[in-house]
Amino acid sequence: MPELKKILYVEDDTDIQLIVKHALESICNFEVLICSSGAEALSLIADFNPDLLLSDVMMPNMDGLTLLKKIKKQETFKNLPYIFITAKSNTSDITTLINTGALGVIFKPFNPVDLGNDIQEMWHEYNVENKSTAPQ
Amino acid sequence: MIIAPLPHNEDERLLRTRQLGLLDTLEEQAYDDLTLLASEICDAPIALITLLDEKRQWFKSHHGLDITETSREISFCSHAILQDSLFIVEDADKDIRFKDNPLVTDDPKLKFYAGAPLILDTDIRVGTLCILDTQKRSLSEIQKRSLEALARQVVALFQLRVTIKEMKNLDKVKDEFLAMVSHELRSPLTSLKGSLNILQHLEIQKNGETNSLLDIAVRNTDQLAVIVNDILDVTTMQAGKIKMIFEKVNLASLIKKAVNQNLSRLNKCEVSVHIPDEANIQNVYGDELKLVQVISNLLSNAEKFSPKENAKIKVTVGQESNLAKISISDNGIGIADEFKDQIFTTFHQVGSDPNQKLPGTGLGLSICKHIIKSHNGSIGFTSKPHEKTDFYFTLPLMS
Repeated sequence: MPELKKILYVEDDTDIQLIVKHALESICNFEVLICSSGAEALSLIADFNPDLLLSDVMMPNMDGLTLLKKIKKQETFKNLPYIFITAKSNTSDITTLINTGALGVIFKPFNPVDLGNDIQEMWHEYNVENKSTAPQ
Repeated sequence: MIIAPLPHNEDERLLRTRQLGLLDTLEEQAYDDLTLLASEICDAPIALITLLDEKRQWFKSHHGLDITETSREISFCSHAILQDSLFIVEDADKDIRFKDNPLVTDDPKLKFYAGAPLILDTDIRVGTLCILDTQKRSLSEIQKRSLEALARQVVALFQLRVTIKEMKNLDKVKDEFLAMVSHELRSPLTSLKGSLNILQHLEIQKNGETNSLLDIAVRNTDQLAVIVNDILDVTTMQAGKIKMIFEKVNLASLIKKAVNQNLSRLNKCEVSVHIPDEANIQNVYGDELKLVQVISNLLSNAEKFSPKENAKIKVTVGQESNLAKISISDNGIGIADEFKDQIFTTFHQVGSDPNQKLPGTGLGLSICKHIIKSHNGSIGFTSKPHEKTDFYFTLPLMS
């Protein structure tokens, strides 16, 4: 199973950025690059070359779903695993997010101490499933 | 032909006419019934409900006449709205105001007109209820009184319509406001909760124990988060906007998932789960997230009302004919008979005694009831005060 190391995190709220950075770097030893907008993420993704995209959904200018579509258009990242973080709670909104093929959805407000573990679990589940469904 | 002068309050009259929101709307049975009655009672071939717009008279209902509007200049109604009561022209050929009117000289060759003004707020005459005939004639006293009474019914319908529109608007504004507020509350709450959780984590790492003041802050933030979620749920629910995604859900795994999610919260209680073997192969058709929410809510209630010591919570899955029955029992304070009817009502909290305030919004059970009802199930409880409470809900099993 590939190791999860580099996470690209897109979030427009600077307070939440800091909290998540702390949670994922200090507590879990991930390498995290924070982008404040979809545009910034698109310009930095190639250099950073993340293992996983973690993105907010409701952001000004470009929302998480649009960002995802644009990233998937790039050949290198068309299969990049991703997780959404959202303040939405409406079931149909959440189902839309999951149906795009996300590893999972994390709901605000969340406990950042558990965040790394939750992400690691989703990563693990995804890789196990991928292995078992891969063509023989 | 004499064109009617404008009423003294024409600007306001026009505004109010348009504010009714009726101009150019579709036909409606309620209005068509009133013109039918007017035509029958007065024994006249044509009956109309007219609204006078700036340049035209428009018909909300037209019985016995195909057109839906004429120019205002040639309308009899522009004369009728200058009157306080019924305006009658018995023989248009002999009336200098109408004898060369094209409605009189050409089709439909009107001879007789009787119109009752539709009056809002004593002085705003928006149009008429009128009957027309191609013969010169008169109306009996009964017919006159009936026509005026029907005109008042038309006005009553107008007013009802305006009131409904205003209430719908208010309701929409309220829903939007609450949804916006709840959403805006979540962002600062995420930062607050996040910072506190990390501080608490660091504290434990440093001292091996946690700071009790931090615990208070964390606990209260969590409580606030639950309240915000509940409010958002109730508002979307009441706006009818809550959408459920139905799919096949395995009964046993649903219960296990819901219980596991709540185990850490229930650590001061002894929790036992009884899932019969057949539940492993039984499925319900439902929205798993929402069903987990219901079970979480009932578990959290059970915990909240449990005794401080020796608290026992029992989760049982059973079957009653083609229904799955999920019960959550506690040995807590119970629910007094007097509260039994109100318990599923929005904003009601059991034993709302300010001296014994327990956390929560009193929204949880009304949300649960809504969710279970949308699953064609039922929810209820039995209780012995100071002894136990048993909440249960049923869901149709998939065959």
